[in-house]
Amino acid sequence: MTLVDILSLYAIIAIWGLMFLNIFLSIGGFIYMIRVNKTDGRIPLAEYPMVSIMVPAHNEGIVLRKTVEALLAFDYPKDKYEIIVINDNSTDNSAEVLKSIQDDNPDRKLIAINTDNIVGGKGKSNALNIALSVASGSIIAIYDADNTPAQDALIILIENLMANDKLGAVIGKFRTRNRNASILTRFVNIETLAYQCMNQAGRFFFFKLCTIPGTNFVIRRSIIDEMGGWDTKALSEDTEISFRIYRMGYYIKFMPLAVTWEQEPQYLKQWFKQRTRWAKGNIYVLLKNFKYVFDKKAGSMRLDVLYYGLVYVLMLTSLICSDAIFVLGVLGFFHSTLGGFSTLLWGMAILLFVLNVLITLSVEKNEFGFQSALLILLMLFTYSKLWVAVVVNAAFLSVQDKLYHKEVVWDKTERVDESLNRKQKKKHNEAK
Amino acid sequence: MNFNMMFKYSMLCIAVSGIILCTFAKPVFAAEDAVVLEGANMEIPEGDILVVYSDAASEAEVEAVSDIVEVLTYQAFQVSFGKASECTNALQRFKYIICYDIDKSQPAFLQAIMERKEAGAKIMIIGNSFMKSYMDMQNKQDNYVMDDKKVGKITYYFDSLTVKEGLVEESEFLFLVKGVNNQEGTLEVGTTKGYVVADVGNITHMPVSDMQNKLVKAIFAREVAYWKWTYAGEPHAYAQYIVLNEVYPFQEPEKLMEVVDLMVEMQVPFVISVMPVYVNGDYPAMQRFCEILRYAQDNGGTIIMHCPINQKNEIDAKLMDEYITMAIQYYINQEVYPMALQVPSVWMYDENAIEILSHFGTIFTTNEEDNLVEFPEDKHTNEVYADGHQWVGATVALDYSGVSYTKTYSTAVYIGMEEDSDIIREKINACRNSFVPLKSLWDIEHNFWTEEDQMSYDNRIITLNGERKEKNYQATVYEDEYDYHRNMLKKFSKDLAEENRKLVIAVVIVSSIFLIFLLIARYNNKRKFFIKKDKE
Repeated sequence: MTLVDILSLYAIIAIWGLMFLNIFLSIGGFIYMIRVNKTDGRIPLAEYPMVSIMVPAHNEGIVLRKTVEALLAFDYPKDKYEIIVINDNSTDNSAEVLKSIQDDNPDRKLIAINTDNIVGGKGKSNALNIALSVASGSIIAIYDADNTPAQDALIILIENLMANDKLGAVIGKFRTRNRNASILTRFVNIETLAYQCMNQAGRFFFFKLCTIPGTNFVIRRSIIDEMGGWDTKALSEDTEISFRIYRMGYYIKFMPLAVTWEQEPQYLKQWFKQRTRWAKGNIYVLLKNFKYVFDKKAGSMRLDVLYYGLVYVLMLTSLICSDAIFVLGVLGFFHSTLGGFSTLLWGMAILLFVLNVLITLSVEKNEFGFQSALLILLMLFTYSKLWVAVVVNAAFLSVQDKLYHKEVVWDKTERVDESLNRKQKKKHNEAK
Repeated sequence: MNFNMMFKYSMLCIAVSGIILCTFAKPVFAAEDAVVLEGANMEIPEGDILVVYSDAASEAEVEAVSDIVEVLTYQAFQVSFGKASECTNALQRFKYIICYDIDKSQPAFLQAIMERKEAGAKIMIIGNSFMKSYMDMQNKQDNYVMDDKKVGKITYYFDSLTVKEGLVEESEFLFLVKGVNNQEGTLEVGTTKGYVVADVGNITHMPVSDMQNKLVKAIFAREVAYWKWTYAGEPHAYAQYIVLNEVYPFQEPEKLMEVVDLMVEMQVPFVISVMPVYVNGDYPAMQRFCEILRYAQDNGGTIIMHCPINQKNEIDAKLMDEYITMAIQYYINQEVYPMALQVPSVWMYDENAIEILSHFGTIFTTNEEDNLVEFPEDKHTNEVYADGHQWVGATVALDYSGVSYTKTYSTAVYIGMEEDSDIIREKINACRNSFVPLKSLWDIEHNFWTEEDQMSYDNRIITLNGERKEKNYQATVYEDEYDYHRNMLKKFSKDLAEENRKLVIAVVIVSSIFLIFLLIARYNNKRKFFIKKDKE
């Protein structure tokens, strides 16, 4: 048995193992989604708590107005929530945009905190900590500056959180607002539904485990206070905070009926930068929390850390092995002599991948179709391969940051004015 | 660039730099080489027959010469060969000369041929343009007729009862019409009716030269034996052998047993060509395979072994030897005694392969292609002749049965294990009814030596390393639970096919669940979005 055979065997076992783990989660997720979709997600309360909605923003002038206006339009008692926008060391017109919204809504509690590069400019966690210092709500809601939440998103999240004392946080679903902007945003849309939404649903269904996605979630103020705010070193403050919530004995609920729409990167460069930041953040959190896998007191969080470990170590290495063996095999450098190593194996893996993603699309309105199946197939050979490059790049940058003691700063995803997109499309159609 | 290409490239670089160095360092040798070239005839070694071909021979013509040399080697002749210009001064040393499809002959060569004819040498002229030049030179234009039609029909009797017909293509046809003292077969070209082979004194003319045409090749193989035969009567008759070809140990033992039983039932001698095995030679599957081979050995069957498949750019004699030694040991450990080695016929032209062949007394050849071996025009002789092998060449199949039509050398009728039992039965019957005798390989002597073993079969006694061996069938006693000595990893990799089956089942189950999910979700979505809308 050669080294190539051993690596092939490793890749086969790892890929199929992870595939079946994912299928298992999808089955749970599907059952959960079907159950939830039969309800309206509401659990009316006798009294609604005060909520502080925090929106960290750094040079978000293009999208800020739309976001804040959506937040102001929530179906939630108007006197029971405040909006705190942390305009963190922005150099664009964000301050003016905020001022104008404040002027238009004098009766609403909209707080704009403009920071400079001394207090602010140190990343999302730092911005959230600044907002926390002025927040008056007993519940904190977080929205990214590019979000357009549905009107009932906040009330569904709050009602679910208040209905169970063991819940530390409730997270909603986020959808791609600019789904049709480019082929990349179509891929992101599928990925979001399959791997963020369905996966979360499956993990919650089986293990009562979820990871906070960074936006469209509510959390008890007492928990944030107890944990001393957000970890300013963490780029993935959402994953980091999730693990901390588990360790405190709470759990997180996934409520897919609370929907927010967000703008996803429509150019590869933006996407690569954003995903590298996420992967770096997750690597940091994974390294910081891996010790808890062996800590019996850490409870169900151990499973989640293990899951992250599997994704980042097992999947990465097995995909690299598998792709390298395939490419070098085609070039004729070497080949596997493994008995029964057939193309049927690859065919079946592709079939399962497509079906698995298709069922996540089937529960959504206007997502399921033949075109989607073709996109999934295309995604497997293009978009999915980029994930390896993202993680390798993130690992390299993480080592570099550690060596050079780099500080965490805003690494913002560039926004696109969607009205321009629409205008361009209209112009194009007219020209046709 | 893969490893083989890199290796080739580096070898090419080494070769090129070697040539450059020699050019600069040794000018004296270059002068010596020039002397050798002037006396080119000295390069044509002695032999029983000289085959001369055109200076401007095409690739196909060189291939035909290769076929001629192959047939003559099977007939145990030492053959010399060369282009017309190389052979002019060598003709005087040969009593038997074949001129193959020489088109533009040089006057000196023509003159030399004429002198040899006058001196009593036997000359076979294959093709037409050289024959024409030869006759024209003697101003004997009236002694032949020509037809410029390109296709002719051959009718040829291989035996008084065995006639074969076929079409043949040439650029033109020439027939000698005066002084013909013997002729074989008929060749009809339009309205002209000529011969396939004719003798005029000590000149033999064969107007068809296309050796790719199986009928022409089979005719040549017969006619050349008669041409070379200097005694009264017919040349020695050789047998044909039925060979179950390339039988692998991992094939179904039931199928092999069925074919062996058929041979035994039909009472025909047969040969089984087994593929070499280099690992796991004591596994139960191999034991089962060898048990059938032992049964065959005891019931008229003889075992021969196919050579290892060469996967390198050139044959590595030492490595090949190691593998042959290993494979033969696995068989003889199970009391199966390979009597001969089976190789691609082109191996007779490769000096490394000849080294391997020299270890075996009996060689079976196949028509497998090996593009890495080329006909050695620069060698001018069939070097392998010196080793005195008993050759069994693949038959020149003229019909679907593959039966032999020539008894001028030993031939093998190959039968594939994948063939249907009825077809195998038909082929066996065709061999039994053939005019070429069917014989057992146990009737002739064999021997081989490897790095580890020496075997001889003489007077019907097998002697292995000085010890007499019996080929009587002994049933194998199988272990109840054979220990495969597999570690965890090997077990898993061995069972990957089994794992595949499990995966297929799992995938079918999961896919079915997913399809049900899809239907449920679609139903729910329709109910939620469309039906509600209609109601509104």
